[in-house]
Amino acid sequence: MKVSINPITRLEGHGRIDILLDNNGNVSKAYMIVPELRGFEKFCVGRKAEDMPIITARICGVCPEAHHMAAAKALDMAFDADPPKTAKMLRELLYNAYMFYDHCLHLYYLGGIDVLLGDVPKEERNVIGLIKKFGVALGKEIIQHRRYAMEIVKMLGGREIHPVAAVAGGVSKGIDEKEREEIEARAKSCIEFARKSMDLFKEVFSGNRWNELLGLDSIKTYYMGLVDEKNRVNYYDGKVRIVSPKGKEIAKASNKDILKYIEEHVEDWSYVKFPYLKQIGWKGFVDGEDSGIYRVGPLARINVADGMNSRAAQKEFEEFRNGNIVHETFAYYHARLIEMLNAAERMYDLVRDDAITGDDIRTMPSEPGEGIGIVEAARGVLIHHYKLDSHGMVEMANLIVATTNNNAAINMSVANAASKVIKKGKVDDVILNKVEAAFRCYDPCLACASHALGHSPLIVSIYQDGKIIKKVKRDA
Amino acid sequence: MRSIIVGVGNPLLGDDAVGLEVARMLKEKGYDAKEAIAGGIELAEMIAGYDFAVIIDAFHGIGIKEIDIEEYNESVANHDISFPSAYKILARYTKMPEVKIIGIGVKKIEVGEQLSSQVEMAIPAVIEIVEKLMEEKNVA
Repeated sequence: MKVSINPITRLEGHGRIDILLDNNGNVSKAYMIVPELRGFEKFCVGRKAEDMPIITARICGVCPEAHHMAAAKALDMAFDADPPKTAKMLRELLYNAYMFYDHCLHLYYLGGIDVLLGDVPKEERNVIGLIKKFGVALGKEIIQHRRYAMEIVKMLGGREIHPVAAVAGGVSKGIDEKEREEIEARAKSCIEFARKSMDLFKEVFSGNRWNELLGLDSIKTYYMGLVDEKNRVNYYDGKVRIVSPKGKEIAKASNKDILKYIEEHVEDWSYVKFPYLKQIGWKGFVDGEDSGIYRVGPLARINVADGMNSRAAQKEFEEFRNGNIVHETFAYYHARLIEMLNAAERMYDLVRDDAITGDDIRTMPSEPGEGIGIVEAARGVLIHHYKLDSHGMVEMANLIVATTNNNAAINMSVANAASKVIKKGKVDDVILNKVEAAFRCYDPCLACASHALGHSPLIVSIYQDGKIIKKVKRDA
Repeated sequence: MRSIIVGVGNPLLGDDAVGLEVARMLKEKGYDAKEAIAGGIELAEMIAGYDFAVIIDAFHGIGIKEIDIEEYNESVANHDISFPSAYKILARYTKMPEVKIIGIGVKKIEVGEQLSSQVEMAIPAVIEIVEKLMEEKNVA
């Protein structure tokens, strides 16, 4: 028995790219449109605050660890319960494992294919094509190291994929020496694999095709990302640093005052809002110092920071930045590689610290109030904001997710890439893939941006004279 | 023979959670059953190493149907690869099980934690189908 299941239920949210051509067949406008399943924030109202790290982790299957941790951090603040040192280290360790396996997935299974394989036929544009080109051994290592990082998440989070360990004021579960040793061995192997990945991609970065990809889109936006007290990249905690297109720090905000810096612009063609920097203002879909559009994610994090918190990643950071702000959108890949290496090194450093096996893992919550939790999801700044009533129930919940932060920039990148590659109405599969590749640099999660729980493919439509002349649906 | 049952769905999306509910009930009956919110590669990784796997998921439609593995390619996020692709990739490196996918038809998906009565009524039949499949594979 065979049946077509189109669409399966979690296909509620279609991501859509609409490209409009003028009479000459050149691009006049291009949009990325995300539908919205409303109601998630309302769904949270009236629930016990302590359930939020579990509930929000189920928003979608893509980055549950990020929502889990942002929610737990919002509760730390709401209950005035700063976690003990060991609890913070355990959370950060879990978080770096998540960052590693998420970046690994994007670099080898998803967007990274655009970089490593180039303009190959559609049927080879996947990880099978990758294995064909680079060998079976590499494929085995990819699978093995993703598995290692996921096992670390499971050990620390209590569950695979959907962790449950972070609670208001700390974590519910520590690790013993045996677990510590297991994590150390896996982290060490992950460092080696990240170095190998860097070498592999750098071969591409030294070629002409890479310059062609870098030339597809470069936008001089503001950047936003978390930094530690020494202004180094940190995915789990710190202050939100915002720098101008020239690299000048314009703000360094704590979780208490970050929302003062962000305003949201609304367009009638998009359900998802367009956040921008309030102090600069909305000037439309344009870049430059006068436009408040900012970017988040790997490239933004590297651009806002003065360095990395681990040795090999620091060396790569210096080589990549070379004292400059990097604006090319495809440089997101290079930044992602540096972060994958950093996440592996950071896991190794954290797990070798004696304090990681300590048993002081929770500060007991006090009276409920208002809390804002900020983390770096793999794809950028994620903010959870809750107001609790006197019984610890949620009165208000607001989530600003990474892909929403990048919404304006993604639209600009899609339009720029489309304008560069679509000429005189010629649109084939390879050309269209380049437009999508610009969009994939951001590793967007549309399900999350739209608060649509679950999965969402992408539909690309090309219009001329008000009619659709080509329509493509992308799944994988 | 090592076998696994995986219910796929989102517990916050009403009837979409029916696969999870079936998995929970089968676990109570003593089967090795897991719950998955994600499809694609994470689902494929979850069943790697087993001899036989039954996946239970919801689809827009009516009734209970067996879904061909090649057709089970729609539950994919932008940040994911499809289940058939993930299955093929993993099969190159590790043992992948024989897979049966059981779909349960649902009408509407809305934010919520309750199953509709129509979908609840389908559950006993699904459990019977899965138990029969497991029995055929000699799994107690």
